[in-house]
Amino acid sequence: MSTDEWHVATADLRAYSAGEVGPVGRASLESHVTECAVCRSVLAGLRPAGREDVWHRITNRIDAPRRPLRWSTTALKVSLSSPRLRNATAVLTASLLLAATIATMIGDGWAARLLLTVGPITPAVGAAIAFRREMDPAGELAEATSLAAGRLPFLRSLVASACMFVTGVVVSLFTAFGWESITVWVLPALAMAAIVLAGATWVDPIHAATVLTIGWGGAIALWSNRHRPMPMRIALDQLFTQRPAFQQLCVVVTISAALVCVRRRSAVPIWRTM
Amino acid sequence: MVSSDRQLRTDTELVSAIAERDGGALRELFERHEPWLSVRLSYRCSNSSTIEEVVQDTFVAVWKTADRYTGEGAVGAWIWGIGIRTLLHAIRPRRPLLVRLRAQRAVEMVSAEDELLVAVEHGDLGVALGRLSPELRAVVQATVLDGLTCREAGRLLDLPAGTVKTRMMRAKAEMRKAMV
Repeated sequence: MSTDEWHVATADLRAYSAGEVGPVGRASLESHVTECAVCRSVLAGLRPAGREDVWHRITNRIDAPRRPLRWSTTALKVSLSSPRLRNATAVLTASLLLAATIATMIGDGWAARLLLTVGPITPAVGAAIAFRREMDPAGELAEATSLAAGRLPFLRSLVASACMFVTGVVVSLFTAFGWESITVWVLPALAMAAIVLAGATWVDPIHAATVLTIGWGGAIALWSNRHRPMPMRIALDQLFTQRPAFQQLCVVVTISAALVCVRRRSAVPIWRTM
Repeated sequence: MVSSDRQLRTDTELVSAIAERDGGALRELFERHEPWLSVRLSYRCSNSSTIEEVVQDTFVAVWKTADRYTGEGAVGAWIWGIGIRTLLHAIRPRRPLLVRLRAQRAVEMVSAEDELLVAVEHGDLGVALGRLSPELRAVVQATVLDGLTCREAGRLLDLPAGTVKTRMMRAKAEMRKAMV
């Protein structure tokens, strides 16, 4: 429809601007004004000036520095935007689920052992792989992010290990293990992931994770040698992870390692993320 | 020189420039479209401070979503689409999900007004529209003229979407009858 030939009379536009046009006239006028630049500019001339305050508020909002992203959003973005890290985390989470499934299938006796072996190790491995250079080969993400270089691998590690923690808790809650089984592995898992993170400020975290995995596997094997496979309920009471001394040790290690991470955050070698 | 260039730019060119973060283009668009937008909104909401906020939100949304403007239809219509929805959101905030789900299950009753619609006589489109009952006219205005969906019009008018549809069909039939 051409709007070139016909325009709304100025008197009508003035009445419209003053809010005096009835519904029918308004319907016709509005559909024309939406499309007609000439009538719009006539209407603009009829309006009192002084829209500057509205404009200033608009520019203030547009120019306002973007609010710093919430910590969690940043953590997710820098982690999920690395396809390799995403895949590695998915594989680890899947292996934890697989371990839980196998544990459920083979029965209570071995379930505790398997869960105890795999559960605490996966978050630590997840934390370690998040530091790998391969997770961000071109270093683009590391360079593009507004985070300090040291924080990036920490955040990634936390996200990667948090995936495993959540999976582990869900496994514990929704499978035959029962919620009591959370205590079997959560504290050692926390301690081991924290050790990997703290260790990353000195050595390649994958080495720390390897040492911990071997050490942990050995400890479980030793314990298994000395004890017969037992039902889950009894295992929960008997396991060395249930001893107060061990749990206190885990808590102390976790807190100390976290403190080390904070103190030495600038010591994380940048090349590990670039 | 620059300003005369800007005056020559069409609305569509301004929106493309805004998509490329040209603040001057937004200013130009604001000057061209803020007056009618404010007037048109003032017919739908009597609170002037709400209208100011809606105008602000609309232009901030234009700034943020300029890259999504496809170039189909007039820029004015696109701005109005953003404006009327912003107004809708301002005066009728979405109800909580649970309430909406419960409303989905409620049986839609035919309201009393539907039964009391006045008949329209012969005439042209304007007269036909003018003769519609206020309830039907409000529905025609919200859907046809303001471009809202039945669901959005229902939110604006505080009616179930089904009633909006029924009234719309009724309005069409009455207008058709009035114009034949």
